[in-house]
Amino acid sequence: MHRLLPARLFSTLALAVTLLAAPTPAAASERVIVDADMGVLNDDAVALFMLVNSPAVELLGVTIVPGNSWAEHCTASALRQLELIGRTDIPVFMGVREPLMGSRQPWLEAEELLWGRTEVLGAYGRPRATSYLALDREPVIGYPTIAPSAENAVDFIVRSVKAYPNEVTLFVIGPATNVALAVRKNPEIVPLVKRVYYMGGSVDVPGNSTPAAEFNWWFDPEAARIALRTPFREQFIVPTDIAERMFYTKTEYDRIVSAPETPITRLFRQLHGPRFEREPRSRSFIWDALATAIFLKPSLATQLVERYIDVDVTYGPNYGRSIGYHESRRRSFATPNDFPAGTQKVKVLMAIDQSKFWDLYIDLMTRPVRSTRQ
Amino acid sequence: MTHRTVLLGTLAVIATLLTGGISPAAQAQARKRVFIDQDGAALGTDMISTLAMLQSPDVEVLGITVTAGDAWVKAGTAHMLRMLELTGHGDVPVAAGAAFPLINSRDLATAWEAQYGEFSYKGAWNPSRYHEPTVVPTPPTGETTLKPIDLHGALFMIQQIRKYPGEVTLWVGGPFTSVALALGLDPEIASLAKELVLMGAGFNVDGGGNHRINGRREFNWWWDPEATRIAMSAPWKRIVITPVDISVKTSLGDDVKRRLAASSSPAAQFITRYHPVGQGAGYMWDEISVLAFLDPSLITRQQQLFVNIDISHGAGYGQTIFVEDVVPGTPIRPRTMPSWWRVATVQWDLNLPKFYDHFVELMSRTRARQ
Repeated sequence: MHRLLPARLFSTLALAVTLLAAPTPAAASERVIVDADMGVLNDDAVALFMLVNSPAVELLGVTIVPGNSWAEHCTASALRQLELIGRTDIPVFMGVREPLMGSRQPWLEAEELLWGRTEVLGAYGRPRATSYLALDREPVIGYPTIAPSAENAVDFIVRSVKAYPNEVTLFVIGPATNVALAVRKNPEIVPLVKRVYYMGGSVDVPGNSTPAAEFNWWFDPEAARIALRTPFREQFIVPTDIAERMFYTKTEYDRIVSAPETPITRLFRQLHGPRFEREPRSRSFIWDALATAIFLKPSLATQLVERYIDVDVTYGPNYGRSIGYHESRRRSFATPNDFPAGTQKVKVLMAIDQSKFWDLYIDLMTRPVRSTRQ
Repeated sequence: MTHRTVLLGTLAVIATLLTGGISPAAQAQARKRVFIDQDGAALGTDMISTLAMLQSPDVEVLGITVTAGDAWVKAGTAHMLRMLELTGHGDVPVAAGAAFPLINSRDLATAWEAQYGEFSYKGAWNPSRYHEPTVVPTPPTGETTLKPIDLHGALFMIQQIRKYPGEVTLWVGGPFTSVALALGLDPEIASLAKELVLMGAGFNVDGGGNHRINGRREFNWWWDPEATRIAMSAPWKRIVITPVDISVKTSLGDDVKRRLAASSSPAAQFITRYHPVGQGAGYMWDEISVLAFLDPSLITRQQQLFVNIDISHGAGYGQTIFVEDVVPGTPIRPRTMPSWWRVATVQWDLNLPKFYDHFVELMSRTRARQ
């Protein structure tokens, strides 16, 4: 019964890798927007710094979405870090304040009663703040002295895509709430977006927030579903399948802080130093940095597979689960009707050249901070 | 219809003709055979409606299954037996049925409330009087000396429906769990029964359900939505529903209680003792179902509808769903609906004075059963 399956799958995979891993080097002026649930020198911050320090990239702005923390916390983190690295020229936009269907914080206890404790809580583990200048506790890097732009993140995304048709790459490295609103509010931008990179989903592995769902998509399942079902020209996904197989350790930290000091390496020393001093074997994931890495250097991706992708929005134990439809005996990419109506075919990162990845990562973290936009 | 039934029926007719009157045998034959499935709050509608059915000289109650709902099944069975004992119906066999809903649970209900708001009524899960399902607190009516039969309520139901093919009215005054179990074990009972008559569901009434503002979340159905889906999708020959909409038009008020207090019948005395005058009035949820079964002319308005239940685990879990696809006087069009939908006759309105008269008369009877 399964006789033909392996051969067909292998040829499909081989074709996919050949086609997809073909390098499309970032041109000299790649315009990007980072839509992130920014933390303090977390993976979102590293992804931001990677883009800031890439000569090929023009960073149009940072849009803030609640996820790892509430929008107010994330805004403070983004502003303050841009300030510390001397890039106050990069605008920061606050967007939505809660997931599409509203915060589930008030009844999260009820969800956990039925579906077990949530491993990664993000913002739900903290109280809301009234302002980015009045958080529940003083940020370790201090409050920013600069302010976010007045424009809403959603409108900024729409305006930017229209201003630079076919040129803007979106990094959706938090929950997809802002992007979902942008494509529903202004669907005319969809064909004008160059491509979208997501960090999110657990495609072939258990999730990290619940056994079913990865955090970003668990935090706002409806938004993830809207975004992923949008017929963008090209969508890349960095799921936990790859992201939680790679570890940032003292080895990488040492390489960064042994370089000549810059505002970025100073942050590493200040914020990661005590941790490695306390526990040299400490290690952590670098999720979002993978998305920026394969954008900046597509040849790093050693395995990109194609999937039709969807998110379960049934409010139950599988809420936010990613579903990746691969080719099988009764589903062929040649006939899109074999896949759920409305889903899109996306490229999913499953393997990366780790040594070259860390070289790029450390290179970008240790360069002198690019001083202005180009 | 089996040959045996036809033969007996024919013999009965001949006997009547020959004797020029109703022989005891013919009378027994004419009585409606009913199997009761009830939940068992110690007092109130579960007990009084069951009593009403037992009081009728036109009914032969084949047995009673007690299912968890208003009370846990062990407590409910004890309540039922004690009521039978006090009212002279101790010879009716009672079996304990399903102890827990198929999927619904106290935890699910608690989580639902955190998300959508508090229920006003949760039966055996009501926090004010909660006890563990294995515990049987002393009933307000006292301890019974009677015992349930040694057969599960679902099996007892199957046994009795199979014993009289085509003749048994299954009357359900509680949740459907035992019925669903019986249907799982023996799917043919739906078509072997004469009909399904029940109190449950709610349609267009803003009150009386187990949510303050939503009468579509009727308790019996909400307690076990999945069992309701199973039972309401089975191929019964006929389904009659007494919904919340009509329940809230009735009450066991002081006028009725005063009339009952004048009777010395054990049934009337039971009500008088546990529902004294001046102690508030409750809706007569299940009693309407029984009395309308005994005399369909009590119902002044009813309608045929496709009726079922929402089993998706969201805000609407356990709510009645229905399709009004019937123009009066025209045949129903089942082709417009997926095959699991069933048409039910839904009662909307009743002749209230006649209802209360019948009720008092029935409860005042001293020697009901043969």
